[in-house]
Amino acid sequence: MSASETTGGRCIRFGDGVNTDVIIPGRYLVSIDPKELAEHAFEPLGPEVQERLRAARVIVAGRNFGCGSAREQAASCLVGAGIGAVVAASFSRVFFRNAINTGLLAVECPAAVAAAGDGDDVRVDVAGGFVEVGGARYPFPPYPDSLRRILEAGGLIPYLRSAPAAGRSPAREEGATGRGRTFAEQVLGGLAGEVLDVSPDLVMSHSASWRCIRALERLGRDDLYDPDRIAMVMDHISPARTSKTAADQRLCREFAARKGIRRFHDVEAGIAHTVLMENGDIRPGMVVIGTDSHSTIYGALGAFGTGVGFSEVTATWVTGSLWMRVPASLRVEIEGTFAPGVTAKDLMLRLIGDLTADGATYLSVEFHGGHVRGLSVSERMTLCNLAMELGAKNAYVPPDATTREYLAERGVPPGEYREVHPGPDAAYERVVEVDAAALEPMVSCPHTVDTVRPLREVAGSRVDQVFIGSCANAKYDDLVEAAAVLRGRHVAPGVRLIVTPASRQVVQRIVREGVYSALLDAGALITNPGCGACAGDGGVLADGEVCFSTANRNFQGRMGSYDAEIYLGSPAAAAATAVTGFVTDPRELA
Amino acid sequence: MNFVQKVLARASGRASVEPGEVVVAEVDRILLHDLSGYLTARVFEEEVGRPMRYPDRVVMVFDHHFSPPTEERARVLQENRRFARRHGIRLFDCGSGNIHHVAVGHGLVLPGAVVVGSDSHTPVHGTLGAFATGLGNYSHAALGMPFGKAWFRVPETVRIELRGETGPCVTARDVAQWLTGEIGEGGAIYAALELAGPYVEGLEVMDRWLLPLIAVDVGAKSAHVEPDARTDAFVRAVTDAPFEAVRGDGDNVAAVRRWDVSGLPPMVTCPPTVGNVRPVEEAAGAPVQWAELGGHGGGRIEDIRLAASVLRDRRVHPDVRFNIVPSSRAAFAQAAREGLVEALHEAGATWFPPSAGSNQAINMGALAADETMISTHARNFPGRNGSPEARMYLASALTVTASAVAGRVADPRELLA
Repeated sequence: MSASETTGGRCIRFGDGVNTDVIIPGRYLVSIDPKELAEHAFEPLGPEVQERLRAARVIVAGRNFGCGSAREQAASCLVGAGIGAVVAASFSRVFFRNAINTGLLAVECPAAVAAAGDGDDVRVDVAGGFVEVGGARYPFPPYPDSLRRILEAGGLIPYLRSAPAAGRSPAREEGATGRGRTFAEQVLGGLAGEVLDVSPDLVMSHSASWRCIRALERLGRDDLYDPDRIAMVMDHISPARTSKTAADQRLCREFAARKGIRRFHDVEAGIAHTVLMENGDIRPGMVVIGTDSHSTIYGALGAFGTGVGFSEVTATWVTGSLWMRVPASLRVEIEGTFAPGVTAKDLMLRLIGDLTADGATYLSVEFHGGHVRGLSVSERMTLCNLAMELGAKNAYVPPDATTREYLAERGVPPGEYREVHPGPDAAYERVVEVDAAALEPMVSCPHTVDTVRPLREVAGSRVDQVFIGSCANAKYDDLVEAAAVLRGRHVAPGVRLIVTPASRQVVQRIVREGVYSALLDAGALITNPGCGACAGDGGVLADGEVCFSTANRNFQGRMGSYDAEIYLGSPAAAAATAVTGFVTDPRELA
Repeated sequence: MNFVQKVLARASGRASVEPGEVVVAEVDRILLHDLSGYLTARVFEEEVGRPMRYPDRVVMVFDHHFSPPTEERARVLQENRRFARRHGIRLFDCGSGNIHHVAVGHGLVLPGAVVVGSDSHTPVHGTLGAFATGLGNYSHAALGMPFGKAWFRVPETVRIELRGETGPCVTARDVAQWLTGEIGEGGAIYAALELAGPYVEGLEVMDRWLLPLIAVDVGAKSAHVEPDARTDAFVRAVTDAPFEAVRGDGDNVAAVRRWDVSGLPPMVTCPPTVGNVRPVEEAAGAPVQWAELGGHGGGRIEDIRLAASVLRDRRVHPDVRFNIVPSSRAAFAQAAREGLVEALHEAGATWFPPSAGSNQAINMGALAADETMISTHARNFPGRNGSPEARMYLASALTVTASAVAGRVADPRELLA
């Protein structure tokens, strides 16, 4: 479908905060065929909604449509279902990108959304820059030319196929420091709102790497811009449990060997983010893109990290660059010291609850203040990881002595990176102040991350399973935190405690220091490192089951049954909950 | 009377029974795993509809899953848990270990007992001087659960006498695999194998274990080692429960087959079936991408120690992923205490929760068409681990680990002897 024409027809209407797990559940991501994916689009909402989707040509939705994962299939499944355009009050930024890159019109037009009822005829005229509902026209801001060209070609891969062979894109403007610039403005080399070609220092792809390799084949290309800028980590399903996955992983392994991709980490390595940071591959001032929405985590070391879809990673493999709109920034100033039993996770949950899941959509979230300076890299990782759940494009903690020490321990001296700090007069779209001392243990309640309540309000809720894992909270410090609660105690009868360490290095350290044995003795099931149950690799919940998790998403169906419930909280709260079998304040067991 | 006659006569309340007779015997233990348990439970509740007579005799172990990978599997485990709770049967949830190792480790198998289960390798409990065999789900649902009984045709006994001393790097697992090849798949149909002779008597109990394990692979109904002082000490270390050990009178043996195990090389079972057993040199050199300690035939603390002996000062080959799946929580904890979890992790191996590991690729262990795994598992049938074109070699912990180091099927004697 060409975006230069008018696109439209009958619409199906949704409310706010429709997430990617609802659009296309993770279990179907083994496919990249839009038609096949379309059969499962919106499955969690039931057959009646799916029926209406198939009859529709346009989706009309409220705020933050497509929040959650970086999965490009959330856009391509809609294309497969015959949807030509999504008109929303606002979009999650990764979904917006993925829509453009798969040739799906994504139009932000709150007025049209307000005017359209379910089943109405809705037309989008890109050239004219308006949405038509019931004869009335509602204008929307025009697409930048670069995006229009991608849309008109029908997506990024067809665009690249038809585009003249891309030369080396200019390096990012270095040293664009300025008193008045934010971190994002400096690191990307432009002012907020500008759309630039950016040349990332590192392009990460996880278990989705096979899709990138297949997309490269479809593109008819075999040349890579720079194999040294590519990292691949087989983390989401490790190891394979179907021959299809085994073959996909083998494809990646062989591709990496053939192309000389040194940063290839196989199924035993652990979660991509943790592995790359532990290896010293992420450094202050870098720009990193990844096929994972939680790539915001790289901000913990003062790098610019953001999630994109797999087509975009493929394109960047070849061209070395991609378009980015320089984000405006949100400054979070945190002062004060945590009370005992309160953690970085609780802080972030509180922030997500207060600002909501689209509180920082498309923004660069900078964490500042005395409290942040006192945080470990592990805690900073938790902050930047969860910033994604505010809708952030990226997150950032200013590099300091803690950062330098972390990198030095990994063989990276300060001479090998360039710290980027926001200027003293930088302009922020919003500043939020947090008093860390006033916080208490918090939880996210089913089924959205921003349904946040103080833990005490849901204490006593029964759980069947506790999961300590994910890129948010399965690092060394997190497992020590959990073990401190579990030592000398035992998991409650009838409760399963699954611990999935983030990486091999984490395993090594907890084994050496006796944390591993403490967890085992308490009755934990410790799996091999990786994404584990957070990505649906084990730990799947049956109907009516409840899980308390340290991960970063609790969307309906994320861990199995659409009729299961997930609470999110800190490792200490997870451990306390495993001991009692009920959501429990860790301070009660201190 | 021989061992089997004595056990079955006592269990069926008779003075004597003869081979070929059908008897109805009391069963002392019914072992179910997560897959068979689900089917059995449904038949029992939906078609039999009687109360569970002796819930304390029934044990369920979740070993095929260490963590449910799909919603359907999650539901199966949930149903099993509910079933166990409804009937008051003992349940070992995910991560407890391999069904048979969990059962013996918790003192749930005693000498002289009749042990049945729906896993085909249930005869392994003959290691402790029990009469043990695999039965179908209907048998458990219709007779075992409501009446505490099962019917058996009393098998003929074939005595396997092994003597001699094995050379370096040749373990009981090599002998067991070699014996499978000697007897042949289907070479002992319906027989009870009595594993005897100085070689067997000289083995520790958990090494003897590997011999009765082959019963089903040669078509036997059961296999056993007559209990002795070692058996007694082993059982006493895990339980105070009373038992009455049974030994045969040496009569009624249908056939005696004798072998000398001296001079055997390490053995490798090659694709595509368990009977295709070769000296390691005939298989050596085949590239492997996966190696695994685990399953019924591996993952014991003994196997973990053997792996550590190979990996001391060595590393897993970069093209190989080496999975270690402890046979039980106890083996895992012991390995941690001995520093082996750390040593093997640092040598490049990856630890997995105690379970059946890659068996049938439920949580792990699926191979692509052109991939090869060498493991201590019990079966290598095509399609059992992912693609039907993938290849699975079976071997001892030493040979598996040596192969993980070499990146190809390798003779451990090249590294250790």
